[in-house]
Amino acid sequence: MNPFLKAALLTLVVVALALAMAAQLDAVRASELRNSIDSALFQNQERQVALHFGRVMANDTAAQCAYLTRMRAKQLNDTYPLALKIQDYEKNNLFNSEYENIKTTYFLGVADSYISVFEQQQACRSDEVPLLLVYREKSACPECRAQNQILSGLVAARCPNVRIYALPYDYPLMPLQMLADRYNVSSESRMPVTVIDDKIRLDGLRSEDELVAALVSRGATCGPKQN
Amino acid sequence: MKRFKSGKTAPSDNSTSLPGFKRSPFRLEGRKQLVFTGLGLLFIVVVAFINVPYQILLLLYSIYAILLLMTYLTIWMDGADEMKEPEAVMKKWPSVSIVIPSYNAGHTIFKCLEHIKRIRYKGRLEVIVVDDGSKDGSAEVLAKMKGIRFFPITRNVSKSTAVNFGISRAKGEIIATVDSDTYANADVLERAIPYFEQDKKIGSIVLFINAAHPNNLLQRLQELEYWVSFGFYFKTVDFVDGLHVTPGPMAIYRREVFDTLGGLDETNITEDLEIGLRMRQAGWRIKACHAAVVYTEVPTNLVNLYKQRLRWFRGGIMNILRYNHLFLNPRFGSLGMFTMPMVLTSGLFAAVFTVWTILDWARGAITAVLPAVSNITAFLPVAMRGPPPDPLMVNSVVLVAMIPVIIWCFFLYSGFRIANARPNVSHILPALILLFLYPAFLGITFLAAYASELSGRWYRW
Repeated sequence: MNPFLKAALLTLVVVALALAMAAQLDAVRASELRNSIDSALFQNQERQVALHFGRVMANDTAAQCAYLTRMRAKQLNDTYPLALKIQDYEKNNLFNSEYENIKTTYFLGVADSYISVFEQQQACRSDEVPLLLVYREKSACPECRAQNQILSGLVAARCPNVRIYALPYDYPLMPLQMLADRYNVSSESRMPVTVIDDKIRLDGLRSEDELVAALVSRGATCGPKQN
Repeated sequence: MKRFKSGKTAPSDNSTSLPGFKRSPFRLEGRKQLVFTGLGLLFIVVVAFINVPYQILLLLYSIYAILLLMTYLTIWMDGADEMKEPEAVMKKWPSVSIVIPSYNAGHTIFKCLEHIKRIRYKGRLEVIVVDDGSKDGSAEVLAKMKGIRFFPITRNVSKSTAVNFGISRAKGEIIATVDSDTYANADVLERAIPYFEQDKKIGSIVLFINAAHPNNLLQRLQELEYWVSFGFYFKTVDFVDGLHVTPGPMAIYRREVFDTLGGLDETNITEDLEIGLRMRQAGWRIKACHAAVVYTEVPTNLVNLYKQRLRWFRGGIMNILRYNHLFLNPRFGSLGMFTMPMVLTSGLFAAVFTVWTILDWARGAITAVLPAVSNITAFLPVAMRGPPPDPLMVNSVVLVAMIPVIIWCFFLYSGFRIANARPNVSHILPALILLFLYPAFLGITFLAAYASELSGRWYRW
């Protein structure tokens, strides 16, 4: 066979094998993300069922609130770092067909979890202070990434009763749009937008001290700065 | 020997001490077209970068690299590895003239001549040294040397002019041109000359060029590079009769080549490439003899290496454009259908990919510092913080991009075999640099070469 034709055929085979390996790596990443998201969703579902029980069947509000407090004690870490992980994995993937489903599942789960915090506050006297980080998903937002790092690395370590959530404003899901409208977040807003306890809105990149001061004003218990 | 007149030549006065060796004036035709082509190319490259993710650009370049390297590999496996020296029995050894141009070469020419004097050859042999206006005192010493024919040129003209003058004074049936910083093994002529007997269409024999006494890391890197390029690549391309260049350090020609085609192009910055293409155009063949080994001085620092490679690459672009009628022309066999496209595309795509990579890094750098511009107080505590270590955080395209690296490791191993060298610990660091860092240097040099060529800048030795 002509060596040039042979080379072309061998190239096709080698490239096909390499792309198959790449697809396998992409699938492993997608699987890992789904596992992480599922854990978060199960927690959420558990809380939802408990709240539902409280609305329909509970006779003793105090006992129901005690269950919810015990659930919170065994809760896994916050899932907002997954927002960055999804972006990073998607960027490193060659084949992204599953990622829209993964993102939809994740964002809906986070939105549900965020709203249920307020439902729990209404049902019980909860000391959880929710913080929502609204970011831009469709295009690069280095300030959003930096804010996520400040929250995860610094604020979360100092303030144990703060629950952090991260949601994009520009992803095509109705609940996200509703939240964005509630907090007046649009493409003109300075990203990221941080909303503390549904009351305080901070636009743009904020330092750890600014965030902690705003959280403490809404009842968060925060320790001293860690080195 | 008739004088070769090229279409484009350098600007200079026509005075010279050599009657009949006038330099032609440089003509500016073609420059405007080159500039517009360059701007058009740049526009396409930038538009592609904006619209296509860098990951896809890397994937496409990797696939191209795999195809290119796989072609070499299949040719090698098809029998290039097992090419034997000719079995032609020499009834009569032709007379040979060795022509050596010398310009301020006092530190190397004498060692070069020592090696020339040790050459074993059964036929008649003469050595011609043409001094090209040296000012280091070497001409005075050479004038007194016995055993050589010495011709001084009073004013520095060019290497090609000096060589052409030497050729015009040579009496041999075979002409060997040797650089003044090149040291030939004693058996080079015995090994190479029989090839001419084997096939009358062979116009030139190219030898196995090695780096002379590599001392520092950069020179050891070039030593490996030469084993792969002049060793492996040349042997492979020779197998399919695709050679297109007669490397400057040393090459051997039939005298008939110069008598029919004219001498070297005196205005060309890569006259060895130009004569190779001119020969192939005229139907001559070029053959590689890897048993004939020569050693040439290589640049000792990065600046000089960059200047050398810039000249090679600019000369390559200019000569490929000049001989573009050979490109994808089946009449010229593997030269037209493989070598020319490969030489053009490898350099061009390397330059384009370098632009894309530089733009991607610039975009990454700007993205990284933007938060500092927004709020430096907030950003500083997390500025150096990266994401947590994650083994899955590797780009999938890397799996494809590693394949050319793996294939190239085999080429390096083959280069060692051709050079009869054994890998040892001292080869590890230069090999790693050659595999992972040197391509970036070459990409930048190709980019500079294209930028120079397509901006219409003057040629300068």
